[in-house]
Amino acid sequence: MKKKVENMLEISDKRVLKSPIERLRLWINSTLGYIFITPTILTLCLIVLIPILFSLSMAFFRFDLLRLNLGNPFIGLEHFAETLSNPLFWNALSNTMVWTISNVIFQLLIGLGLALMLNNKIKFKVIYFVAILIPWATPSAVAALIWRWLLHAEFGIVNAVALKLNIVSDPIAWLSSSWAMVWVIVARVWKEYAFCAIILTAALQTIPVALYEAAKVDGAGKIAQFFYITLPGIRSAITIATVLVAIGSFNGFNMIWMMTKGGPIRKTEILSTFIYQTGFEKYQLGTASAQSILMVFLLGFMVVFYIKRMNRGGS
Amino acid sequence: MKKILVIILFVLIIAISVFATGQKETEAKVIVNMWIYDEMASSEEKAMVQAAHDFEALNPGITIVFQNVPHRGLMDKFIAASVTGEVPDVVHVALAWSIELGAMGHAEVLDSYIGEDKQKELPKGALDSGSYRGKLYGLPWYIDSTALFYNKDMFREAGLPLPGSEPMNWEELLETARKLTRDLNGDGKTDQYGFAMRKGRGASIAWFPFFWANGGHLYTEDGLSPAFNSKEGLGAFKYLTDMYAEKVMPPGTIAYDTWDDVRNAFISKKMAMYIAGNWEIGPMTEGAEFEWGVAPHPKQKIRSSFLGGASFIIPSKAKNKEAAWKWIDFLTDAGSMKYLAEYDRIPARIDAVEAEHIKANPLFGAFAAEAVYAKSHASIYAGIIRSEVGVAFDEVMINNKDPKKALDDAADRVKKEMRPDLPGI
Repeated sequence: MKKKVENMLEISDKRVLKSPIERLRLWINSTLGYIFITPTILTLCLIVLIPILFSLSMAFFRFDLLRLNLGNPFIGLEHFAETLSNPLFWNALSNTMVWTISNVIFQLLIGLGLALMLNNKIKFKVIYFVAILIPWATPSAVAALIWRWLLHAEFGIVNAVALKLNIVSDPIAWLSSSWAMVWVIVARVWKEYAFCAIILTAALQTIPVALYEAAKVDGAGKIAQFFYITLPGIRSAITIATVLVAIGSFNGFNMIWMMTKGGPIRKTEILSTFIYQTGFEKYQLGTASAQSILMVFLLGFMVVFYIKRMNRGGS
Repeated sequence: MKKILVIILFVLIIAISVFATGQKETEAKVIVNMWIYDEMASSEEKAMVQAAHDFEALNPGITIVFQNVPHRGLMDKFIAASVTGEVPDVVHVALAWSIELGAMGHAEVLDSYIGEDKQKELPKGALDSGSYRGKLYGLPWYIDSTALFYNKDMFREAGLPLPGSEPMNWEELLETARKLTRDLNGDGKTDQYGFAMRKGRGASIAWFPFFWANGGHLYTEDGLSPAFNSKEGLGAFKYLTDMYAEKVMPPGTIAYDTWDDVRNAFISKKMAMYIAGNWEIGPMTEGAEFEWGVAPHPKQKIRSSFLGGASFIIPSKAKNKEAAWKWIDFLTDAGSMKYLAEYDRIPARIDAVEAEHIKANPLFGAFAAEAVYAKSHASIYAGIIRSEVGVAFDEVMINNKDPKKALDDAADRVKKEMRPDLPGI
């Protein structure tokens, strides 16, 4: 054995000491791969890394489009201080929390319910599955318009039904009242719940049937089975779904922008619409960049905290 | 050996592709690239394409190339293009945008191009809307003004005389609106309202001309603070919100986001009057199944109307500025007013009433006449003022906030956005 190793070393030593051409060949052999991926890496840097670094750096300069002519001085953390002392930022943040948490809870609950139903042996499963997917496949612009019409103050079907059932005495301008937040959440949950349903359905199918049979033999009821077999079995899927839904909602822009534009009176203004306005309506790109950095940190913190929590609970 | 060959080949390919792009075809003709919105040059039959052909016949060395760009997002797209330098030679922009682009340094100063004669041909309000700190950035092309649309049948049913060519003042308008607010079937519920406007940001469009008619100014004289919460501003603000509180406006007004919403309410006979611009003439003619008319915009101390429309800018990084100016000079000439007929637009010229399509349609005549009194809200902080006054309207109409407090708060929020080295006017 020892001899064999020595032998190999000898061979490799000999190889290293070979002629210059051979050495060049070796060098090319080992670097050719890098040369081939260089264009890709450079392109990626150009279109991903540099813009990210650029927008990060913007937060520390004035970067006010309307005043670029007047110079663009380095101002340190001024944008951050300004943002944190802006009551409208805190309003947007608290709206974002309400929006994100409600979205996560309702999408998960509805998704879980549907997944449990679809996991049973039922007829025409495919049809149900497709039906569940329809809202998810609808473009958000279309979904937002549909909901706007459903909620229309004068011609909307929601008002018509509510009037018929005597829930309200006069038609309500839903999206122009304190109800706006409730309805944008409903609309978004309606559009997105299918995602959780699919992930959880897939997870449910990985739980071995034998576990349920064994539990049944041991005398566990349906509820006990759910809490001691089903939930632990799909725990990691729930974690992933929660994180993905939370990120999606936290950054969610389309539905709110197209349904209310953050109104009325900034009641549905979330961080993404707030930052959009700072950047593209007030042209304060520096401030908008600082706000985006705060937003990303906040989201990252929340996600890491949540995943740690879930992992600790599991062990 | 094979690998070395591959490398050489690879280097060759890159070298060839780099040099190939470096060689450019030399063009004898000057190309003027133009961004235009509202699909105004989307097909060969459009009048703008015809205008380009006529212009090219007069200027054989210049070719016009259109790019139809959606109105929404045009600003963002142009700003992004300006940063990279890939800009067209002429951009069709909304009237209120040109000074923002001028302040950003993305629009060419037009003072050295425009002659005195040309300036005299253009309405002052429109020229003002393109000027910031004594420099002209936008050349006005066509204008919109607002006036009072009314349902003639409802006036007759209520026994009211039809409005004449003299504008109503605020008291008269309110009285008329009250008389037109009626319970038609006797069930104790109002079926027909007197007046309506858009909500939020849209309500601020309704408010501006009332504010100016009341003698108000948007900024203090130095342009460093907002002044719209003055006595005049509050008067106009309260006049409109009181109409809503008194239920002379339909309760659904708080949901009228778009012009479509107000017009649909008018067409479905929800209310008798609303204020809007000449862009409504087309859809109204198509939609309304009753007799309607247009009366002058209500006045108070002076007459006023909301000036909108569009102008041209030449990007500061444009390649063919001289040719670009020739083209927009041609388009804003008296002889080019005919091209706007197809789009139902009023030329931004003092002699607009002389244009055939304006003469042919008295409705357009009414708006063209209004243009003399019309004023643009264009200024550096115009967008912010519109948003914040819009929030104030929502606060009062939805949350019953005190109007004075709402407007003062809006002014405070605008003040926070104003920068001392960038005056509003």
